[in-house]
Amino acid sequence: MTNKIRIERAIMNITQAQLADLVKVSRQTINAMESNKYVPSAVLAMKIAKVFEKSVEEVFALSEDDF
Amino acid sequence: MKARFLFPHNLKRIGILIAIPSAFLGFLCLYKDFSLQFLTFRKPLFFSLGGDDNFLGDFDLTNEFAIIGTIFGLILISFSKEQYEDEYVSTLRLESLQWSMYVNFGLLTLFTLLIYGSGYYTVMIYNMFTPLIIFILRFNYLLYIKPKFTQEKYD
Repeated sequence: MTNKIRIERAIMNITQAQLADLVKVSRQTINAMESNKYVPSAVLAMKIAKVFEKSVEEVFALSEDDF
Repeated sequence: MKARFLFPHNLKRIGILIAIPSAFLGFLCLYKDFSLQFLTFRKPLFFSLGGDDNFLGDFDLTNEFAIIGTIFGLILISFSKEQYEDEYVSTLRLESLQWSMYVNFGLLTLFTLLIYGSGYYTVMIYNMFTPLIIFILRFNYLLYIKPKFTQEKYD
């Protein structure tokens, strides 16, 4: 799964720590998702999309190796 | 997300305060035959009635105290919640636990082949604690040290 968290974060101009606070997870979790080391749960993906005021599909997308 | 079967976060520090002195006491017991006077009791009479001379003498509870303290402390360090106990931390926790089992029993297999006699007894003593110690090292490395290499560039 790929995501645009880093891009969306740059657009909103917030740090990993600020995003982590907004969705109530650790900063390590945001970092792991941005470096594609962790695929978030559906709940967390929806919370992140909500912070960016986008739909989940605009932030997260399936990649080749998901199949 | 609800984290289950974990202790409150602040018990982690208490775990460190219990585990380190207990482990130190354990080393003293193991290598210096150290014993604490107030933990040494006269054996109650009924233990001596069997007629086995080896069972006469005092109870020295120092090593029991050290072992239980170390186990209790390591359990608190291992299974206290992190400040943010979220889904990623839970995943890391489980993966580190699995990793530590592989490493621990891999090492045990190696030492079983390499060490014989009374040395193996020492291996078994250490092996009571190594699963938790390896877990703590792996989990904290993945959570706090490894991200430092990638984080600063983008934050």
